[in-house]
Amino acid sequence: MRGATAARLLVAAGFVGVFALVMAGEYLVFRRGLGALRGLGLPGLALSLYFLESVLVLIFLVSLVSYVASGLWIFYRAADTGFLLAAPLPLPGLFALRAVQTFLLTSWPLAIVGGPALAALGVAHGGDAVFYAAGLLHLALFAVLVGATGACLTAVAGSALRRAPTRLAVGAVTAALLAVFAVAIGRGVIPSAADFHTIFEPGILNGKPSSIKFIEAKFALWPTHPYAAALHAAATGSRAGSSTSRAAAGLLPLLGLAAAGTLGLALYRRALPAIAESFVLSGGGAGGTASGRRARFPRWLAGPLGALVERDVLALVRNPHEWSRAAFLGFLLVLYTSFLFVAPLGEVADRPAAVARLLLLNVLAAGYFLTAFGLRFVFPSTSLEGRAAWVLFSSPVSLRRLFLAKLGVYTGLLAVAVLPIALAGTFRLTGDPRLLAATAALLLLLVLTTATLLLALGAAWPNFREPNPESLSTSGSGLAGTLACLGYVAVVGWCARGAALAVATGSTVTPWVLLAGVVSAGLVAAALVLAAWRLRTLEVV
Amino acid sequence: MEDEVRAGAAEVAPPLLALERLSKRFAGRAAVDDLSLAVAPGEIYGLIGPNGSGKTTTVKLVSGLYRPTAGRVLIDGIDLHAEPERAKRRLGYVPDEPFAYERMSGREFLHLVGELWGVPVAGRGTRIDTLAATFSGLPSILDGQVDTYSRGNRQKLALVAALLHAPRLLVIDEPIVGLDPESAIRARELLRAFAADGGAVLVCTHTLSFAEAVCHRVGLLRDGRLAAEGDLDALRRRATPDGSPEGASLEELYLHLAGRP
Repeated sequence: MRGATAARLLVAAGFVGVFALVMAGEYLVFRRGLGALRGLGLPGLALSLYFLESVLVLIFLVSLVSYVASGLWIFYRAADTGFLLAAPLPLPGLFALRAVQTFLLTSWPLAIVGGPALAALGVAHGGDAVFYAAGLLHLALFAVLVGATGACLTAVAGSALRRAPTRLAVGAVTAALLAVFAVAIGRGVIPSAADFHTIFEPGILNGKPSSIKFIEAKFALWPTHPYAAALHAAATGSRAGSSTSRAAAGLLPLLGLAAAGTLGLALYRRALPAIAESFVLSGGGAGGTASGRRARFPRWLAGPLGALVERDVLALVRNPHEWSRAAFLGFLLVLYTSFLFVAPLGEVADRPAAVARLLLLNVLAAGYFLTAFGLRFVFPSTSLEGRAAWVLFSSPVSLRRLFLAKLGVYTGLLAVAVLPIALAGTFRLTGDPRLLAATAALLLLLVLTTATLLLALGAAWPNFREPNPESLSTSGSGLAGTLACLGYVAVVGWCARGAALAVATGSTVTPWVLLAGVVSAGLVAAALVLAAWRLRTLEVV
Repeated sequence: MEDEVRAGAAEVAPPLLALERLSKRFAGRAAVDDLSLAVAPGEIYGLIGPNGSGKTTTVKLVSGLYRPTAGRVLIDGIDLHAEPERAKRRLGYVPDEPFAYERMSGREFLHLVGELWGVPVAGRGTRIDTLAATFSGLPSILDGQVDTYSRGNRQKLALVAALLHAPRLLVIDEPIVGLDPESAIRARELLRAFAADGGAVLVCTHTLSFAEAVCHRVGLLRDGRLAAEGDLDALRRRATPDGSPEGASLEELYLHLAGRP
């Protein structure tokens, strides 16, 4: 028992360490960037406001989408919903409990991005204790606004989807939301070349630099603007913001709480019983399948391995919670894609160091998405056999062959999800065929190795009693997978950077691709050996 | 007593299931300890014993969910852990908690099981319908998602799944828990018919009346060891001072063999 507690503490400490490393990295990048902007004078002052506005908008959107994606499960379908409904707990209390639970689970962007940004802003502009106190107060108000808006949106979404006729409706709503967000980000946040020209134009209007006025106008309708302006004014002494925005910074969270406590609660009261009665979105209920007709199985794939793979896909398609998590990761991917297509990346083509740095970031971003998708969908694959694992383990199916079949499928799915976007980003950065080919090879290695590592670690130490993929990926083997993938992604990113610099100096890219190939082959071989050994001795406890 | 155990094993040769000095230890503690028994074709063998005596561990060892610390499991003469895929083709298994894949309908689940055990597609649907019709109520919910099934209906589904590929050996942990009386009778008939067709059944149960009604032989496990084995009449004779088979009720017999006052 003591050993198990120590192991849990070790895993928790490991994840804290990973997050601390990520935050430290962000802080260093932000501080360097903001320090450089400070040296630019007036345009730099405006660009630092642009930075703050963009960061807060991104935190706001990512937190909200994450909140609704998780909230639709936590508010309506959490495992203890039945127990709490039967307990003498008033519904407003349950609503508040779910709102706090969801906020605590989904407010990580605020901590992971907001914290380092605030610290970097303070250090870059020599902020004192008053600045940090004001900054923390504004971030706290912003957090309340995010939580209250998230609770409202979750209640609206739950109410709208409580009698959703088909999965198509849910898919259409999700796709529409993603499209709206992508357009909002693409048009409103990511700066175009014309924006830069405006920002760098000198001019003072009514005592305020025109560049700052331009940026304030661009972000005026975002609820994040009052906080960005307040932080900027506190750090730099600029005249960003107005009396209206200062009042809004305090009033918006109160309005959000009031809306959550009235509209949100009323919608929750209406939708909870309808949703809690059934886990099936499309009216299956006690009697029917999702389609309500006699199902043929397997439909598309043949043989034992094909049937098991098709079962995995079916389970994914029929699980609304999986949809919402996939949609969240898809949303982040859409954000990244819109950045790639709107940002003026072509303008750095003649600066090899900048191309190399951006290529490194592109590979790191691809690695992040692969790891995130992998941890959520590939790593838990064996554990999600769940309490029905007896079927597989008492069957005459070779677990080794099943592992290889799953590896093929997940490698393909990850490649389809991430490779096209990562390759498109590479095309936007360079037209050199050698660098394109080298980057494509590195990305393929990235997909294969990430999928193998995560599938192997998940298969080696499965937990058949834990049905929640998020809990599964925060286990000890999940931590090992996260660390292995992060380290490996960094190595491949460095190889991409090296290849870009090699092309710029006229030398060959081969050593960099070979280096990544050797590292990848070593990791894949080690993961396959581990999986083969564990699958031979695995027991269904 | 050891003579009786050996004599019992000798009677059932050639066995469809043979456990040879089987042991399973968890963190140094023996859950199954040097267990040997055999089940012949046409025989229904019942494992009984108090909680924690090693019944479920034995069943999980036989179905390949656990690996033995020592000893062997032979299914139709094939070593389960040396040739697991060959051996498992002959095995049908129903666990004590018959969970199934929840995002599938019962029919889809049965087709998946059919694929895993190589049941040909042609005729599989008919076989599913025929087996499902054994249990009242199951055909009407077969196209509903498994997560809406009651405990009893999951049990029926698991029984149908275990029989789908016409195994030679059936291993069942608590066969009638959750079943309504009519379905329990059907399950009993199903096992008898399976054995009459030459199959062997290892059934592990706390329901002594069920064991009495269907088992040809019974083995009593205590602390992972086989404390007694034989047909119920022989065991009853041992439990009464005068050796009369009518003397002890089934409950008295159980308490006597389990070493309880």
